[in-house]
Amino acid sequence: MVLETSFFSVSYGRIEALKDANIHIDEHEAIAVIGANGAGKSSLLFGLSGIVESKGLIRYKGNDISSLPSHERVKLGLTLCPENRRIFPSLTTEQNLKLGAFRSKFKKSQLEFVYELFPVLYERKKQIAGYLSGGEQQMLAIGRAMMANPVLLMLDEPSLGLAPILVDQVFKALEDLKKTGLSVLLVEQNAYKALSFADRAYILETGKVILEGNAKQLLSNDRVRSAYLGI
Amino acid sequence: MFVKVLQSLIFGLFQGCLYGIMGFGLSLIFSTVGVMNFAHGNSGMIGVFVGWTVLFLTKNIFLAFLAAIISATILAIFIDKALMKRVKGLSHSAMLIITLGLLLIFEGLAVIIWGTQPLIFPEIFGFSPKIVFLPQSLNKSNIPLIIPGNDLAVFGTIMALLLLLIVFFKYSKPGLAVQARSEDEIGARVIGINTQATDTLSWIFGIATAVFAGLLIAPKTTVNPNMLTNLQFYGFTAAVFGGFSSIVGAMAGGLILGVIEKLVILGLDELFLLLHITSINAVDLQLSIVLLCIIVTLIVKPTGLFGNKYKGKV
Repeated sequence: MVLETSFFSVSYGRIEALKDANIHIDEHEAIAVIGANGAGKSSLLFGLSGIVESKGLIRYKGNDISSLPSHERVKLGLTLCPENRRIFPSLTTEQNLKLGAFRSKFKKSQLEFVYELFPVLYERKKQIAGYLSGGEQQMLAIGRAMMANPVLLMLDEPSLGLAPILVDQVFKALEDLKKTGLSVLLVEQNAYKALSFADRAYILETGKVILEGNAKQLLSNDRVRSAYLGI
Repeated sequence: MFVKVLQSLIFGLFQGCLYGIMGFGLSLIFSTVGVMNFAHGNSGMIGVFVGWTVLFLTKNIFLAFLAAIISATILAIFIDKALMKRVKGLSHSAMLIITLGLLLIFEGLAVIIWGTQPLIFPEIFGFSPKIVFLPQSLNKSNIPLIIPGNDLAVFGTIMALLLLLIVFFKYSKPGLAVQARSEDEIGARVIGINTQATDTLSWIFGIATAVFAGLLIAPKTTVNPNMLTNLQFYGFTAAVFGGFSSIVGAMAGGLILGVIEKLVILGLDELFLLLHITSINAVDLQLSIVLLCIIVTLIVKPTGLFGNKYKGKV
């Protein structure tokens, strides 16, 4: 097991965004987290990566990491590709990618791997990241996260604001990443895409895990179909 | 005329490098921590007083500089850890009010400890001014060009320091971390940057540069509680001018501001002479010129000359 939480909660002041979530992720497993706006999906990822404070236990490879600061968690292989990309707009594509390896040793092979995954980033490597298109910026954000050489890659809404063809491209890349043996925790609004991609899934509603199970089975679950797939 | 313009240019650059280094500190703190440090000049002033005291006791200028920079570091860590960390989550205006309070506290502290009597700071370099006569073809009226040796040394020192700072922030790992943090806080944290450390580092570099600038001008201004008040204002203008998000911009903005200021004064001088106006002295308009620069910049190019357009913090 790569990661396991128990009674994991995230609150902002008095507002509890996530309540007592118990989730676990196995090695080489892709997990999807589905939920509406404000269900606590992003809070889950922010809490796991240490960007916001959380309560409860986080076991990573058997060790409790819940008191570690965010930069220590990145070092251990827990990397978040945040919502809205959060790239460094006035640096070039390549500078962004190199900064991705801030906590690990920069390896040229890793950079080449990212360029292979997203050839368009190689073409744009000298360009200022702020001038890239939305899709390219998303690829850059994923590429930058990969530069940290993660064990568990957490992605927050990678399809947000992208044209359908770019969404397909991003998910194609995620499939490729999954094949390299990475564990993936994917938070998505695009429930159909996410469930088709993932092995297992958790459904969040108002801060609570209300359903979990095999992603393909959830795709045919009546409640999921009516609430998240619009069928 | 050529000599006069050249003279203004030289004085402008000598003056501008001081604006530049103040602007650098202000924009570094602003772009990283997100707060306009109103106590910038006065933090520097406290450091200069510490430096003066050590100089008075030991007669060693090197020790004085060292003590001043160390006191700046302690001050910066205190401001960051004891004050700013606590209100960070609240709002930017809370941090702003704290710096405003610090401005008053530092001034009061300096008055209590060292008094209001200006203290003499000895010349650091002790070069004599150079007087140059340009060849007749360029210099019809045969006016000499004056190059103050001490100012030239200060200019050289500051330019060397600015160059070092640019290299540090563009290429070193902690420098890159500060840059990444100023571009996007969440982005910096997800790649494993310790943003608490980058914030502390920015405060240290910001205040240390203010102290350094203060020490260099201390022989001219004397050491007194208001010695850096005006310079902070000029530094602020330099930062607006160059774009608050770019530290190189603030440096360049300072140099440009210095040159503009001196050239406009020269132009007004000539104009007043031509119109036989003797009631106004062009030098008195210095601050007005600077204010005008802020207004024009904010109207024409709000992001500053070198500011990036990806975010709208200013």
